[in-house]
Amino acid sequence: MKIGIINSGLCNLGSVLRWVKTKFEKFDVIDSKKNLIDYDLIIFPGVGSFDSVITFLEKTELLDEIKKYIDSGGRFFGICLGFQILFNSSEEGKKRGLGYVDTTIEKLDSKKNVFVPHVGFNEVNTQEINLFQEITNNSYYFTHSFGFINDYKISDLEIGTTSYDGIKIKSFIKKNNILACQFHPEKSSKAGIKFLNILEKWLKKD
Amino acid sequence: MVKKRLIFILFYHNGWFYLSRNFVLQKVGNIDWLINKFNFSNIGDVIDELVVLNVNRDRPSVLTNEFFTDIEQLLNNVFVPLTIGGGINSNDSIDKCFNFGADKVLFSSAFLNNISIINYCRSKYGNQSVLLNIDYKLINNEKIVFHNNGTKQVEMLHSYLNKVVNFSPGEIMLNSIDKDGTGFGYDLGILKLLNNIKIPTIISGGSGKPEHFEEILKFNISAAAASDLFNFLGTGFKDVRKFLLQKNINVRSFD
Repeated sequence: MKIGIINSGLCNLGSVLRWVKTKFEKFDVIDSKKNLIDYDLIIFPGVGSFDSVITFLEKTELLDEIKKYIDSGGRFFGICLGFQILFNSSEEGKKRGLGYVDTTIEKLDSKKNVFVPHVGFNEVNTQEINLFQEITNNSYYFTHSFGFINDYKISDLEIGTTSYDGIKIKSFIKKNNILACQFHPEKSSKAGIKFLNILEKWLKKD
Repeated sequence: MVKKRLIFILFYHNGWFYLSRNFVLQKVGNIDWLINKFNFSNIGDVIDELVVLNVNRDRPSVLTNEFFTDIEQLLNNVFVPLTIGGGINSNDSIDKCFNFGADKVLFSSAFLNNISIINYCRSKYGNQSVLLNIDYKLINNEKIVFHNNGTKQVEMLHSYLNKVVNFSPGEIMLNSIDKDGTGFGYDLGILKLLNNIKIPTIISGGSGKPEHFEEILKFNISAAAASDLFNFLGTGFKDVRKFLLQKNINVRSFD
């Protein structure tokens, strides 16, 4: 199993590495242009602002490499900002995202006056997604001011949801070979460790 | 719904951990002591977030390599959200914290003295990464904000808080110097100042028993912090969590 972790310099890298290490012994940390085709999994963690991470991807040309990798069927797992870059755009910035989810990331309080950021442990409902039912009923750690909160629907996009102060945040998505979560499994204690088992199961499934 | 958080604050200086009472520090043990005495690898079962404050009451704190080496050891197999504070005085020190694995950085005096580093943190790592801490104490029955570890009087809390809210940091922590380390309970007088604030707020200073957490978490407060190692790190936080769940306070249940 060949795993690559993208280090944009805009993430809680140390925590992600410590977390991945509990399950997978070997992985590469990627911070410059590289052909990704040989990898079995690319993990994209992120604590940062939308434009700064897209700028990093443009500068290193990793933007095209990641697209090539995903388009050829490579498995991609995004965390937090690694979730948001999959969208067309974000209200947090002006840059264009990768465009795998054909809608926009919005400010959490753009429609309703909720506390921002959404921070703390919260539940994720993934009952509609077969392989990921195990995620349901676990609490995961969130910390974000922007999110997938509109009603956009598309047939090949599977969604897990989280309730927050009267709004519904789409906190987990699966689209073919792409998996991404708004929450931080690497910060979610035991539930986060269990999450690695689910990730492993997904990798083994053809 | 998002759950209310129980946060633990560790005071660290030069390889040692401390208790704080009214901002006076008392050395209690080193890193091995902390890990072994409190079975630190299981800490994620009882706390929702960890804050590590690099403190130096005599002169400005500096984030040393030794700090990161020690905290790395502490976090071996611990997967909880991490905030680092104390000695964050440059853009470079902010980058170091995130690269190490922090999710948030805590700022206090920088709000008036060095706002540019807070702006740097916000634009690079997002607004949610900024935790703004406010230390205050009562002087002639007025709540007054203090900087520089409680030594420098700044201004009235309500006007300072207005400025902080307008700046709109990711989170605000309100820490009562009078209550700090006493175990007498949180400063409930602070609650009326927070009514219309739509920013997650953490109350700190004074917790001594489970009832104290309920007294503030039953209101619209996002989190309660504690820093008394002996009182809470053993079985203490477990009891607090059990008590709060019985009282229907929405905290994370045991995994």
